[in-house]
Amino acid sequence: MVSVASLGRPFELLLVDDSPSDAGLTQAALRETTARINVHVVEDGEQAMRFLRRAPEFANVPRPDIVLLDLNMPRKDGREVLADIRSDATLETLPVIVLTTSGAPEDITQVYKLKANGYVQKPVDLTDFMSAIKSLEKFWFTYATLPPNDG
Amino acid sequence: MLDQTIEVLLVEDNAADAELIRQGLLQSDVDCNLHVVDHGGKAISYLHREGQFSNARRPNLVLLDLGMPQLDGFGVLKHIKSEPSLSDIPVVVLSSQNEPERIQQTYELQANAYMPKPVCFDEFMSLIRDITKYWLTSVSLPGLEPALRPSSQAPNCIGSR
Repeated sequence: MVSVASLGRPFELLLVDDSPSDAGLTQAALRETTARINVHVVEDGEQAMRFLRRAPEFANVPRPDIVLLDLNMPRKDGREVLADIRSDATLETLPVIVLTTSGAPEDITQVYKLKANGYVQKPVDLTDFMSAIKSLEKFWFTYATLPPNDG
Repeated sequence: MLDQTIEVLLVEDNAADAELIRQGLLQSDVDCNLHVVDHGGKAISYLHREGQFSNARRPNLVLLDLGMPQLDGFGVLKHIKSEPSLSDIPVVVLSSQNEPERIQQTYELQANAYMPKPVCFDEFMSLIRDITKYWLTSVSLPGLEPALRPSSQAPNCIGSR
């Protein structure tokens, strides 16, 4: 099992969400988890790609171990971000979990076809939201092994 | 609200592990059907509803042991992820051989997640409970009706070979 101890450093998580309140909620839920996670937040898909490609304003950011990606965002939406990530040889295995308010079956199928690792519909209820994030954290940071990340 | 049972295909050639997984799913409160095949070729026939599997239902999730050569776990993974009619189905890979190159290769083949198989029973059972909680409750799977949350009724998990 991969743990923070075996990784030797905190997990780096990139959160892409254009809703400050949802982003705040996700961060609050992640703070309650047992794993040590550094959360980096950007507000849209363009910023997400600039972060991942270490554009000048993001020159010193770490490579994330995982991305939580909203779907419907201005400028560049989650579907485009996913396509960009999967077509980039340096990013293609980066675990991406889509975290969105949409529950539309077409969105779910499309996101999996775009090779997201998972799709979590943001629960409306706060307790359910916290529980979903905890469950996500437990799976990805305790049980699953993430692909090697050389930073 | 329409309740739809989640179809889970387990590709696992170790009968004891398959039974543990079946028991673990039974203990969860998720309404699911677990189907087990012990061979890569059978998995592909199942997914294409061929031969003895002509009445198979499309899985909403595949649990795949990379396992031993004749299981051909990598072959099953490649097939699912390259076949347009199947590529959206999430595949969670379980493996006992955890070299970094193997893990990297698994993700390059577009597995949705890689999990090392726990060695001890208690760890195994808690893994199954947490996989269930995440993949069958928190995660939205393709091919299910909208506004569905798995039923909280009495457990109803049917295993079949």
